[in-house]
This record gives sequence, structure tokens and C-alpha cells, in this order.
Amino acid sequence: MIEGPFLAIETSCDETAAAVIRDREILSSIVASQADIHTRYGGVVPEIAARHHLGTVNVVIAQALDEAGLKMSEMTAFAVTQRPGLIGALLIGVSTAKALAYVHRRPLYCVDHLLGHICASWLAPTLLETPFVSLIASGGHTRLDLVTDLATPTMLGSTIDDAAGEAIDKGARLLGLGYPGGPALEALAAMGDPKAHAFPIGLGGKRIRNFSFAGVKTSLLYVVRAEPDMSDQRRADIAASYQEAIVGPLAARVLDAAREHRVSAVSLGGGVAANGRLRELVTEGAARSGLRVAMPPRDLCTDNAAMIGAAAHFTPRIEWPDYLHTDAVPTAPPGGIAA
Amino acid sequence: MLVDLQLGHDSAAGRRVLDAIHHACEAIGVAINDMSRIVVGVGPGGFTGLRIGLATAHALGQALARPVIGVCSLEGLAVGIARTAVPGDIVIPAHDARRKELFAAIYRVRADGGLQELLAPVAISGVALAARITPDLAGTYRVIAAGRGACVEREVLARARVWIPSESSGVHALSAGDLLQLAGSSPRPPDPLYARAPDAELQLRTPGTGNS
Ligand SMILES: Nc1ncnc2c1ncn2[C@@H]1O[C@H](COP(=O)(O)OP(=O)(O)OP(=O)(O)O)[C@@H](O)[C@H]1O
Ligand SMILES: [Mg+2]
Repeated sequence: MIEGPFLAIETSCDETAAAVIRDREILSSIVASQADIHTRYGGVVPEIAARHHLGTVNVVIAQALDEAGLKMSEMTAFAVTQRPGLIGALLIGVSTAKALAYVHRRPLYCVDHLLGHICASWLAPTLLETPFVSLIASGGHTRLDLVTDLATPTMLGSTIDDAAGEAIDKGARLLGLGYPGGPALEALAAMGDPKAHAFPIGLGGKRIRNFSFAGVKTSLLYVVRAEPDMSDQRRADIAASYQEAIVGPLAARVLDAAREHRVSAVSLGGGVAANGRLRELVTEGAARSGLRVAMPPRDLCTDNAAMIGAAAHFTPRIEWPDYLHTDAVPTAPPGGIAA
Repeated sequence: MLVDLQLGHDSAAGRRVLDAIHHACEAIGVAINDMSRIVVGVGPGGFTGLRIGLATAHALGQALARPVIGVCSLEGLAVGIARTAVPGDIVIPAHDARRKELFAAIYRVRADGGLQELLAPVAISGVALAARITPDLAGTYRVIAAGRGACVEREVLARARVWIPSESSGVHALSAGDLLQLAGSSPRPPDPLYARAPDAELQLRTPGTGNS
């Protein structure tokens, strides 16, 4: 555990974020999203993301300190997302955190973004204790982990093709909704019937812990092509059925895994965990199995720096000035999470 | 100037910048906290290296609560070239911008030795740059180009009667001392000078090539 308040920075994709954390408490958490900027390109443009992080990161840090009512010199350490992500975006956070830690002669924690998503539910207000099974479903990742020690989650399964959020965004685009598609798809789906259309379930079957979303996406493409003049109700029905084909397996497999590994809790993280239908399915299923569901507030599910601070508690510490050569890493390590 | 460490030209050079700052401080026995201001080259140059430099400078400034002053990297190179020139001469600093382009600018050496900007930093092909060097631009004065971009386009520029000093000459490398000098005479906000739009934006502007 890191003693005292410390600053965490996240710039791996299209959110510039900083937070001040003490123990399991969030003293401040600021997120500046670039989503509006990338909308016109239909997805995150790495070069544009990097340009915006550079203009924004220092402002976000100043706000986080201000809101926590603390001075930079009172930070006992600095934490930053080191991997995985867009390299140009990661480099802004890493270069910034290194320089801040260097000047203040403090240690640096180089955090894995996915460990961050897993650790979001360990923070207040959720305060989940190990062991639990974690489902991370975001724009770039979809995986299940058995977490008996937050420093070393064991991956139980992951997507073999698209991430759940990616499939949601692509589906939303096929249905003529903007980017990011998640909230728009959910809103449209709320007016439709999830049983209206039978989309194929990727990798169906018992004891399956991996996911596949490429098939359902292709299937939606065929529907949209075959029915170019869909009525509004039909579009809502298709959206609801498509959403169900994605969040259904997510809910079923995280609950199955928890039962198999005899843990008493599951946690949800990543942007897709903000989806109301997924939350509903997991909550209902968990109640039937007597499981506890830990769902961090929505703003802790999407990218933020507070979760990076949480993961820093379980990440090796690099003493001053041993991190001068430390670099950002775009890829995930073998096994998925760097410890 | 007390110390000048050159990091080299490889693409990873930018990633060593904080390490170099630490070693520069150690070499002269000062702490980073003793610095009164941070001066940073704002480009144009390779986007990634440029941003590492700027992010590092901004963070040092924020952590130290000291001002961060931007200077144009091409102008810094021009200061070095101008030392080999006389008033009236034209100097052209040029970095290699890849994709068959240069990041270049054109200056005239003023009577007081200062620089008058004739062409603000742009991404430009060697041929297009050569076309800018008309007889009435230079008159009877010399036109001197330097920098790795000038070396790459040596033939094209030489045809436009531009003199490019030999590659072993020190004039092709940007010195930290010249940047420091500009912080006094020609400071800018510490924001990147990209001189080239992101590809995605260029595609969006060109009808028919937008992302599908
Ligand atoms: N209400 C929602 N319903 C479904 N999906 C949603 C909802 N809100 C957000 N999403 C999806 O969450 C994804 C973004 O999540 P997040 O910000 O965690 O991902 P990321 O940071 O882009 O990727 P990663 O964390 O893998 O690097 C997007 O695909 C978005 O469509
Ligand atoms: Mg994320």
C-alpha cells in the first residue's frame, strides 16, 4: 500500500485524467474526454488524441490537486498508465509523470491500464474485497479474471476477436448512431424487443470463458443490408436484440465463472459496464446464485485516473531516479496484465 | 552555457530526454530545483519526439512553478547558420520531415545579426522549397541551407544555387545554446508547432478519401 496522498495520471486513449488518491479513497478525480473531437472521424484518431493530451494534461492535474485541496509537494508518489494503449497518447502521461516525480524526488508507479479497470471496484465506494471474478468489457478489451490477489489476477478468458465495446460501437455505426455508440445503442435498445431477432451467440456452450463478437457484428451487417428501409420500431428491435447478443454472454460467463471458482462476488468494469441491460442481467443472475455484484459508479467504469491510483497500490514501486529510462509500452504483456 | 548534451537522431532519442536532463544537472553539480526557467524547442519536428520534449518541459515547469518558454527549433538552427553568414544573406534551416518533405523556414540576416522571417515554418518538398528561392529573393547575397533535411535534398537545393555546408560541419545540428539565446530574443508560447495536419484531418478535408 502507498502511504499518504498521491497523484495518478491516465492518458492511454481519448480521456485525459488525473486523480488524487489516499488509501482506498478518491480525494479528487478529473476526466477531460475527447469523445466529441473524435466523433467526426468515427473513432479515436491516435495522432489527434496525442495532440489533445498534450494541451490538457497539466490543466487536469492542477484541477485534481485543487479539488483535493493539496499541493503537488504533498504528493507522496506519482502513478501513471504505462500500458497498453495508443503509444503517442501514453507517452504524454508517462513523460509528464516522470518529470513531476523527478522534481519532487518521489517514487513512480507504472500501472497497467487493465489492472486499473479491475481495481476500480476495490476503491470506495464499492470497497470490494478479494477473492472475486472480474469482468472487464471496454472499447479495447473483454476479459474475465479470477482475482485472489489484486497484484496478480488470473485470466480465465478473453475475446478472440472484437472487444465488446468495439462490437457495440461498430453495431451502433451500422444502425446509423454516432460514436461512441454505447449510450446511443442502449437508448435505442430500450425501446425495442430483445427477442425480436435471433443473433448468433459467439462461442456458445458450457464452461466457455472466452468471447467472440465478430459473428454477431457480421450478422447485423447482413440484417441492415437486407432491410435498408427499416421502420423506427424495427430498428429499435434490432438494436435491443443486438445488445442482448453482446451483453447476454458477458453476464452469463462472469456468473458461471464465479460459481465454478466458488467465489462470493463478481465485479464489472470497463465502459460497457455502464450498460444498464448488462447490469440488470448480472444483478438478477447474481441474486439467484447468492452472489454479490460490485459495480463501480459509471464514471469509474469508463477511463479515469482514480482506478490507476487504485492499481498503483498493487504495482511495483520504482524509486527516484530509477525511472528516468522508463518508457510507455503500447502492447499488453503475455497473459494480458503486467504485474 | 554550462553543459550541452546531444541525444542523437534516432527515433527513441526523445525518450531519453529526462535522463539527459538529470545527467546534465549532475555534470555541473546543480539540482533541477535550481532552474529559474525551462526553455523548450517547439518544433517543427517529429511529432512524437516533439511531444515528449514539450510534455517533459510543461511538467518540469508545473512541478517547479517556473515559467516555460517556447522557441522555434528551426529558428534555433537558423541562429547557428547565421553565424557563418553576413547581413543580407538568406539562411534556410531544414529538418527531414519524411514523406519526401522538409520542415523548413527562410530568414534574412539583418544588419544587427538578427533574423527576419521570410517564410514561416512549413512542411514543404525540396522542389517547392527550391522554387521559393528566386533570383530577387537573394539578389547578390548567398543562400545557405543546413540541417538534416537540407542534406537530404542537397541536389535539388544546389540547383537553385543554395550552398549547403559539408555534412561534417557542426552547423547541421541544433545546439541548446542557440535555443537559449532565442528565449531572450524571440520567445513563443510553449505550444507545439506541428506544421503538418494529422492524416485523418487531411483525409477529411479531401472529398472522396474520407474514412469509410
Ligand atoms: N451505456 C453503454 N452501453 C454499452 N456500451 C457502452 C456504454 N457506455 C460506454 N460504452 C462503451 O464502452 C466503450 C468505452 O469504454 P472504455 O472507455 O473503458 O474503453 P477504452 O478505454 O476505449 O478501451 P480500453 O479500456 O480497452 O483501452 C465504448 O466502446 C463504448 O461504446
Ligand atoms: Mg479503458
